[in-house]
Amino acid sequence: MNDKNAPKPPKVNASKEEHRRFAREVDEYEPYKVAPEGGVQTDAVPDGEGPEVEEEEA
Amino acid sequence: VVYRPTFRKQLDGSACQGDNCGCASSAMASQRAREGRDPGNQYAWPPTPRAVRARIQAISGGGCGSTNFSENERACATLYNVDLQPRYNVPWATFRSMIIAGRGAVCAIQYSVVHGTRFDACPTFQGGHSVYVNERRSSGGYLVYDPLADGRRDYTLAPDWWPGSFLQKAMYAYPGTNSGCVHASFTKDTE
Repeated sequence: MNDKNAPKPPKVNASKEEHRRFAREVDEYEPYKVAPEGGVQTDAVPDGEGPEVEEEEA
Repeated sequence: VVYRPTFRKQLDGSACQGDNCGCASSAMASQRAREGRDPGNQYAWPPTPRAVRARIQAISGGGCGSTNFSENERACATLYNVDLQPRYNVPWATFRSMIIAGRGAVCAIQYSVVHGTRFDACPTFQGGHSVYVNERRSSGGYLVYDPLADGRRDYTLAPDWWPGSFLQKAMYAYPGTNSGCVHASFTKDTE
């Protein structure tokens, strides 16, 4: 998707202050706040990868 | 100097360890956002994945299972008084600029992309995953905290510097992401 209204990032070697100013624009840009349908969900690691599950305290 | 949080592994013996990548990444992001300072409320400090998970369960009910950015954001706001900001389908150059500006970020990646590289900390896992990115260095690498990279079985130990092109590839591969874009939940600027 090419959003023509989205804030335009400075060049990578721009000053820190330019990146900060841009970041504040991004903070306010509403379309980036819209989660895709179903949200951003992660998946489960298969059983057996971690240590044995501890007994939960009552 | 950018504040670096303590690495938090997700495979910690807690009941939801297999599902806690988002909680672990958000715990690390919260510690970064506060630069290690205890908010002094009634909740324990420093942040841990099991505390974030418990708070999500208290808010939303239920047991284990995957979590999303919003659930972690709400849990960390209550526990640690931080404002994590989820942003979706953000162009890569925008993500890069946010990190250069002084933000940390919880990032959605697809773990199958990591297989066959020295960063692989779980060869049996293919799916959607969360990692925490703390900073970018001028050569283009990103300091990545993979909650699975706990050094077990001689796997890698986080944090580690991932090439930018590699992090980009892993984030682009997250299912359903718009072309050329990524999903990330940013901390405030701490620099």
